Amino acid sequence: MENASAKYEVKRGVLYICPKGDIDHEKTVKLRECADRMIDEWKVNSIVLDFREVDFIDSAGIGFVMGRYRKICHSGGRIKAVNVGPYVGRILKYSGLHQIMEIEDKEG
Amino acid sequence: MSENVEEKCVPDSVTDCRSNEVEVRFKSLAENEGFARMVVSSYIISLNPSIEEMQDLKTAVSEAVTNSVIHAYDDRVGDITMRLSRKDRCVCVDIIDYGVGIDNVELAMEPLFTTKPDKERSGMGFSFMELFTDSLSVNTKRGSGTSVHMEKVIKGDFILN
Repeated sequence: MENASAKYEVKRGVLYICPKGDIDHEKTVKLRECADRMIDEWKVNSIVLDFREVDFIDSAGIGFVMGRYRKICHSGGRIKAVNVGPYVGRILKYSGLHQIMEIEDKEG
Repeated sequence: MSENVEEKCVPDSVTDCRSNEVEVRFKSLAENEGFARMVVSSYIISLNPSIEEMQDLKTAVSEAVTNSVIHAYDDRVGDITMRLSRKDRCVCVDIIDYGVGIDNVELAMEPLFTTKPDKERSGMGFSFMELFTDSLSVNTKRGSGTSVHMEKVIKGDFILN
């Protein structure tokens, strides 16, 4: 499914979220609602966050990632970040998230 | 923190003559977090910031404004004032709310501390503000509000400057 905030897709128990634009507190409120609904409905056990369209993320975005991680990690689930640009990569590393999730940089 | 900060915002006098003062007042709504980031971006663009400097300051402003949006007025909506000024290449940003104030500033500024874990607050707001600015100070009074003062020297994109 797709809305103004992100594209969502579930494939084989993996939820792919491709957020659009800035991931700040305003955006995370919308992302959280949809993501959690899909995680519960589709029995999702892993999440892939695609940052290809994201140029901004602050600590609210970090909170969102941490919240999703907490939601699925107890059942052995994993979170992965892909298409991570240099700025998003910096923020993810400063927050220590690289210790709990795989981070794949954007190519090129 | 920026390395090798050669310029510091040293006031010339008690009145601290800063220039190009801008004041924007808006409501403590989440939709204004992005608006505030746009305002500070526009303000510093004439200093030809590097991409990193632009991102740093936008992030710091976003953190301060978001704190006011979430914490200052509980379930009500109140005002937030954003004041911008500069002295040479040193940009000053004040984010001011007139809300509940902070009980214990030291505790609030501790990394990972949050009073709202249920709202998935990471507690990293102040840490990011400190990381991305050259100086940060917080004034608060219970029942009157909170004012966050940040300064950052924009050295600029060295290729173009």
